[in-house]
Amino acid sequence: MVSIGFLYFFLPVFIAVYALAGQKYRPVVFLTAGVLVACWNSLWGLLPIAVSVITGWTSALVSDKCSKKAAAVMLGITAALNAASVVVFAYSRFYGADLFGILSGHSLPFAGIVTAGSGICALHSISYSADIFCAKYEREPSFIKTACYIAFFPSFICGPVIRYDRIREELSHPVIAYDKLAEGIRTLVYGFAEKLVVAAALLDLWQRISGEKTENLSFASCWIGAAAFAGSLYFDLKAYCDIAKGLGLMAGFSMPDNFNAPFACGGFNELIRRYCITLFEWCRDYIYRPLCPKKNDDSICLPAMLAAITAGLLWLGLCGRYFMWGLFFLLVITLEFITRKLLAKINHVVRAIFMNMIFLGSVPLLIFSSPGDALGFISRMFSFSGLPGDVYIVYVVKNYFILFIILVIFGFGLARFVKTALNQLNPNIVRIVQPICQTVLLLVATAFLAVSPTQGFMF
Amino acid sequence: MKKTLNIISIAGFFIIVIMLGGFTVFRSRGDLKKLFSSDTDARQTATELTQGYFPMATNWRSLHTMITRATTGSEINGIYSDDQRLLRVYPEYDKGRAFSNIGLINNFAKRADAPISLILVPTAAGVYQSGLPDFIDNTDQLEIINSLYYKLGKGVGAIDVFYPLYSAKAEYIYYRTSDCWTSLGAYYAYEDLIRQLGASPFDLSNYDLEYADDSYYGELYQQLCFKDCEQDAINLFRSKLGSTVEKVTLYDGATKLEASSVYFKSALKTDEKKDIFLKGDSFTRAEIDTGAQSDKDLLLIKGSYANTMIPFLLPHYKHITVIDPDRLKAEGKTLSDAVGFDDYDRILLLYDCVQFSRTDSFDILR
Repeated sequence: MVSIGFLYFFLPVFIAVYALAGQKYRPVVFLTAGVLVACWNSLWGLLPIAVSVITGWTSALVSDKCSKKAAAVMLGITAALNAASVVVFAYSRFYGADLFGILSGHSLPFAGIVTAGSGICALHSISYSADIFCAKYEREPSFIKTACYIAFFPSFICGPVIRYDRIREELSHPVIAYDKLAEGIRTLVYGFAEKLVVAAALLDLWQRISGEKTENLSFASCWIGAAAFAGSLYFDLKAYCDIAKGLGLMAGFSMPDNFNAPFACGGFNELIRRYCITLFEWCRDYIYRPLCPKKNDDSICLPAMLAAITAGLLWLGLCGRYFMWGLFFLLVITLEFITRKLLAKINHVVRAIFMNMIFLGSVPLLIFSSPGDALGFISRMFSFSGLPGDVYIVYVVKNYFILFIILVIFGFGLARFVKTALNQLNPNIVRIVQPICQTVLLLVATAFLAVSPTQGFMF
Repeated sequence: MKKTLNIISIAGFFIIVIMLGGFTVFRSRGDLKKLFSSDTDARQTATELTQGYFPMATNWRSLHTMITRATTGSEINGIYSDDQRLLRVYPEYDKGRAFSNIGLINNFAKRADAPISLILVPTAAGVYQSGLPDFIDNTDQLEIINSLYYKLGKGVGAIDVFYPLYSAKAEYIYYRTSDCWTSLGAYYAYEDLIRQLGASPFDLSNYDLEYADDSYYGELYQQLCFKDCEQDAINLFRSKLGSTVEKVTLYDGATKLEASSVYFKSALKTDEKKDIFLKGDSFTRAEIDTGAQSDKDLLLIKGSYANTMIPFLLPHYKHITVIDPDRLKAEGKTLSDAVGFDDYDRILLLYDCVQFSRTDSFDILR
């Protein structure tokens, strides 16, 4: 999605056709655009989306028309097929892990092909089927509109995960409004700038630092490296979510925020609520709550919480380093859950500092494929030595200072605070500044795209 | 006011997007049919067309460089920039391939009658390494050259040009916007080369300096479009005694081109103006007959740096054959297919040390 072809050709053509189509045909245009995005890399990209759409649609139909028992069976089949689709398509896409090939000795023809949207469509399909099964809302009679929701293409790369009831009205009457269109353009352009300027630069810094042998780095360089990686991961995910949100708004859909100043959290339980918010909510509503109907029973709640977090982490990835990081995360969350009453007495700022230190300290587990390398890097981080003669500190202070300021401003929610303060002072200040920022950032993003026309998902 | 500003936002965005997108389509209209051709990958073609025809490429590159320098420092895509010059830095060096090439040259020396000399020239980043900040990762080219020379067999002489160039580093010996040396840089190397071969070089005072072009922007500039960097000049050193060249014949596959000079001024009308020296790397073999008072023939097996050196060698040899191993290999030939290497009085291999570590064409010497 972050390419010159998408921004300068696909987007204007899609919006023009979508606007001209009128309310009746807009879902068809929207679905067609999703199909084009899905099969841009390969026609095999349609397969996981077809699986999710057909299972979601069928499950909802069975829930609506058949017995409760049949509906439950169909819901189970839907969940299983979508989980299988994620394993086969999303994982082989990200990690080159052709599980079918490993198990059977015969590679699937689509192994390794980039299949955009397989992960998100699976979550949409399961949540839609489960909601209809629980009679939270009525089944959508139109197959096209159901498919539009399940294969909601703006979210294809990494979310946000949408609930059907949130966009049901907008899907029934898709309206392009000035305020939504303008906000959508702004959000989309900010997303492009985040991805191309900030995330790429922070990743570049991490790659420079990781190119050096760990024993040659000072503890400070290791911390900076971990912060650079964490920052690039955050901005990369946030950028794609902003692009998705912007695109959705341009088409008339209100989409939820996926991040809420995660680095200002006072603990890991709060962090998972503010980092990939929609994924957290999905895991909470479709795994944790069904497993733990009684909120005050720790003997059920803790395993349920661990199951939900494990599912979320598995959705993110199925490789060794994700597993290691996930285990560490589960351990910290468990400890935090057990000691929650004690921790509540500590000042929020102190907790936030410790949370960030532990988070950055765990980042090497996520980065290095070899546990030995990860532990070596972590021990270097906490060795507090090697500072004299460390050239990277000079380098970072000299060259990456602005980027770390940006990371702090957005990661800790200062940008939102400033915007709110300015709005209270005089709303016109923000309104006037926004189009100027938007144009400048569009030109900046174009400059980066003109040099590297296609930018892939980093992680 | 809110609605007005929203309309301005929307209009501004779509004006920019439609203008740039539309202009790209307009410019690529001749190639659009490729998109629908069954022979090509439509996705790949679309990406190439948008990249190739997107308007104002130079301006975007320049803006990208400006922002990247402001946010991440002075090294962009492996090119270090300061206010004076652009330097391509080499954090990695393929020692394995370089040593393998040395092995092929040693084996070749056992079969050849003529004495063989190898010149490995440092690139600009090798000579100006001391000016690079500590955090810029760059290969120590002096160390590399020395280690490669150490591995040379008895039949191959090593010509050191690092120190002559290093001593003259305050002078205009490398282009500011290209990785290559200038005529002056080549002259300093020539001085040392000829001395080490036992002859006397012509003094610089024997040459008139001709300013062939003063607006050359090399390949490093074209990559970054870094506006703060000054343009380069292409200078030619013309012998005051007159040219010794009688005939130059260039061969590229079945194509043959004859000329009366080693300078091809038509290159000054292109982006790659330094191809004025023997048409750059666009030929497989060149035969140069000179009126020099010498009875010696030279076989020069060349990398890109050799072109600039050739004018200085002309007064010392009656006949010079220049071979580009990369192109010869691409034609599927070996050195013995192209020339009888025993007919020469000296065989000289001239490469910059980076190209030497990257080329896999020395198997033409087998």
